[in-house]
Amino acid sequence: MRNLFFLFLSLLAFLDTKAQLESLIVDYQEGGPSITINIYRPREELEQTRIHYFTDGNKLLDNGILESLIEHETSPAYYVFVSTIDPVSGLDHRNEYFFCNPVYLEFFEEQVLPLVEQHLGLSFLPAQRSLIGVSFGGLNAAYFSGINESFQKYVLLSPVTYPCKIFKEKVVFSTNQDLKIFLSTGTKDAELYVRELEALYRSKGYTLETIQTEGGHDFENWLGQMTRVMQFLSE
Amino acid sequence: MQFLKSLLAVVFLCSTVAVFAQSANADITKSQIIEASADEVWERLRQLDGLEEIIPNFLGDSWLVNNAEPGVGAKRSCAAPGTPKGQASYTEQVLEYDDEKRYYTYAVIDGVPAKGMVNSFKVVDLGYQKCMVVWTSSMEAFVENPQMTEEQFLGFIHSAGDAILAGLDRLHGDN
Repeated sequence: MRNLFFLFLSLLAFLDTKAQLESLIVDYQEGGPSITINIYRPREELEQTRIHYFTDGNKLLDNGILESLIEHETSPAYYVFVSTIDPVSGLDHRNEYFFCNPVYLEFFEEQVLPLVEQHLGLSFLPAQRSLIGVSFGGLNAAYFSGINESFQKYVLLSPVTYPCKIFKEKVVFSTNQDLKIFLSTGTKDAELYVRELEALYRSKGYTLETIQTEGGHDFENWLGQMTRVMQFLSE
Repeated sequence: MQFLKSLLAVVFLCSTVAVFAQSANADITKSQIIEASADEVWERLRQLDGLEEIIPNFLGDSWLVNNAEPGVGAKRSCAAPGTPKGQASYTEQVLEYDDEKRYYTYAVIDGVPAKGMVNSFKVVDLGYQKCMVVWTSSMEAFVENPQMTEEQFLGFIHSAGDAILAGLDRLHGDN
């Protein structure tokens, strides 16, 4: 009976956090797929707070990232979950978006960021924005880090980079300065890619934190790192 | 049978160069067959520094910045002959490095009037103590400057590529 009661409370808490999500839908391309963006507002809204953009948004939400973030919250922040799944067809376009795609980059810069921040009625500086990607989402974040100027902080969890190589050139030739980058891999996971990324980022003089966990290439591992990730982003 | 073998070898060579040139999106591709094993030639190239032994007319010195280990991210500085010790004329950075496939690609990050310049070396094993070295060079754009025209710069790049391959042949080939 007591267990049932706790289950009921947990369910209420879960529904409560879900209820705080505001959804936006935006066309990726005219006549093409759409993208769902879920936004979480912190309970305490501060002007000088941070905003964290997550790619693979729907999958992370389905796997409980929001509850994990709220539970381990170190300071109030906006969380934005950008999905790769077309809400109409149900098709996942992550392999199109994440493989060093300049169209997706432009879409993110010119549509996603203005739309979200206009919706919130706030404007953020690059130092307040971070982009967080897992697996191929990490490759996308690496590509963005070499070109994009809207983010100063990046989190690449188990980045898998073999599908495209151009991001290395973009990072090496990038004029971006003072980036903060968090890199992680599990065991038998993305060690090779992380080693290469670490070498490239270190040569740029960026602030870097790298960790290797005991976990694998899965959401349990990535969600388990959120406390550390948020600490890194709030420093 | 001998004719068939030779024909196959030619087809293999052409296809290797074509595939590599395509994958590197190269603007310039140069190759040289060397009468030495692929391992021997790669052993020299994989060290990254010591290019001045290959092209003494072009370089006086080349070294890995901060004594980095050869690999992705490592930076190589190169100095033209007569340049004061430790002063780099241009600097490159390794983008890809594969000992098994015997190739590396590198970006020229400063010192040249070019934007987005990426070059590569690949050593193809031809068997029978013979290999082919393929060198590629590509750039996004030439950067206008008072010292050199685009034509002059491209001429320099072509000469450097030819000199590298000739130098490797001189050092390792069965001349």
